Amino acid sequence: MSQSLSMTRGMSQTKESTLSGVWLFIFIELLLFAGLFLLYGVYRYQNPVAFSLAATELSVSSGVINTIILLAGSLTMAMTTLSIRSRNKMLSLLLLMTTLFIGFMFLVNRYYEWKGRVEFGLFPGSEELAQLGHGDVLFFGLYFFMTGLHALHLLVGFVILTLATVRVNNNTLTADNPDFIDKSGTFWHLATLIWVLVFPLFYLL
Amino acid sequence: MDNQNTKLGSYKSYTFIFIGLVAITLISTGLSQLNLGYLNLLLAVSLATISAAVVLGTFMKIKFDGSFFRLLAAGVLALALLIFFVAFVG
Repeated sequence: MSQSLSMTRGMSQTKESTLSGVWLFIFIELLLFAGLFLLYGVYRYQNPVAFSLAATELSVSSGVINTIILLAGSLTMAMTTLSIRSRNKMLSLLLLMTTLFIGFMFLVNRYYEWKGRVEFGLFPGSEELAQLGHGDVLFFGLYFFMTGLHALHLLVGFVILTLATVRVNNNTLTADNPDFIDKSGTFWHLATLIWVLVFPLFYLL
Repeated sequence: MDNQNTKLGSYKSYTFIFIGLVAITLISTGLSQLNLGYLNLLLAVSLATISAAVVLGTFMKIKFDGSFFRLLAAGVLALALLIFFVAFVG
């Protein structure tokens, strides 16, 4: 009796430490972006007019569409945590692949948005941008860096979710061990969380 | 298993949360098109913070996992909010 109790206690401690590791990582990433928000805030305070004008170069509708599709990705990811626990393998696979497709579409949109800015000469180091002024240089420097860092997170999430999909498909990830899906989902939602904070900075203000 | 599902929510609740987040995004976008002066900034940041809190509380289930780290994450969000207002107000 006491032996089984001690075994159970050990298992719950392992699960707790695994989840806390994910949250420690999330905290570090939030701290990283908090530093970038600080940078944005200071530069915006110093160049309010330039930042407001530079923001008009970005497409609000593109930003809104990106936000909505990323939120949809979080929805399908959250639903996956339910479907995996209800042992619905086909639904889990469908939701995971939908999430992957949504992530892919976001990255495609990001590519075309960057492409558009580059074609107009609005990228760090370009002569056209330098001629616009210091405020514009700062705005687009932050824009490319922050959206690029966010896209990198999304790319990593994409790889992790692909792995999760493969594992669900070959039955090594089931309702009996859903931790990997939970951790993958938490990381994916981090990308959504970061984007809902970044989106207004560059598209709405 | 049932308790876990109750903690995690349901397909319906997640769908409603998604609709709510989309609504916040659209409202925020609509308000940004109006010339409200200082309120533009305040509303955009406030609505973004609300969206972030909803994502943290529902999709990421911060209230269930890592009780210590949810305090840290909330602290980071509060710090970010403070940064915005200090930087924009001066």
